[in-house]
Amino acid sequence: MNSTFWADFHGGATHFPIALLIASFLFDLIAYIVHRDPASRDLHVASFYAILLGAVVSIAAVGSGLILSGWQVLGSGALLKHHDFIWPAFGLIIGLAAWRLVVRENASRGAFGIYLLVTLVAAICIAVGGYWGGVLVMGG
Amino acid sequence: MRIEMRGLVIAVMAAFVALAVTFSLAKFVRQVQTGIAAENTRLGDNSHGKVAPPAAPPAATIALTPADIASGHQFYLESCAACHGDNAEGAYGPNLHNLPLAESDIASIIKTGFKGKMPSFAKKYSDSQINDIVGYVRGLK
Repeated sequence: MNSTFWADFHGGATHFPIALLIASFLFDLIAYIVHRDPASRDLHVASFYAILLGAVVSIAAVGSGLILSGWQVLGSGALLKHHDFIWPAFGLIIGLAAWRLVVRENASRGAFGIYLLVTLVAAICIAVGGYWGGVLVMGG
Repeated sequence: MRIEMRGLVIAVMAAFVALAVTFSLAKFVRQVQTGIAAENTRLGDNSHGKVAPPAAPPAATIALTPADIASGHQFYLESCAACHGDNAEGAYGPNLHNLPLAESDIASIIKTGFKGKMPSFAKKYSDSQINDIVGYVRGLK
């Protein structure tokens, strides 16, 4: 497996946690707003599995990124900016998935509102990190 | 403890463990790689003189001041170090020390990139800035 393989793998793998995290947030947001609607439970379930899968795949994305960058956790320039947002996003997605696994459907509305805010922060971090990843790939 | 608080404690621990394991693993691998490289250097060259010496880089033609070289170094750290390493000794991209390429070729590669491997920086850097980067790379021995 040469560096081209890891570049392709990382480029592909990173899009899963990005999409799944944002989708999880949107599903939960809609479910939170229409909480009396029967469909809200299905949206919460979809969001649960989305964040869980996103957290699992983020491990592969992070691992392939480290291999690609020569195991640099910070780096410099665009790579540093990329990592400045990716590491918080990685920690948050793992933490959010863990919280959902423990709490399941038993969270109060207030606590779930805070969860939604933290998910939004994580989604913004992963999106900005993805932008700087794009700068690395595309130049500028 | 309410389930939300229990979940919060577990979530924070999970995030901390994930980041700690990742950073520790990266540090360990880099130490191993550094150790292997140092050991190879200590063992020295075993070619018994049968390997041809690398081609000498073409003579420098761009006239640059120390300030230009310093600018080139900053541009390098900003855009090139991610793939070529902080010391230009290679990572995803190749080692840039003693490149057997003319300065015009290096500048051309920076401008046009390598399809599928290296992006173009023509829009990010002017010709003068690219010359500064070339001057910095040229000075790497």
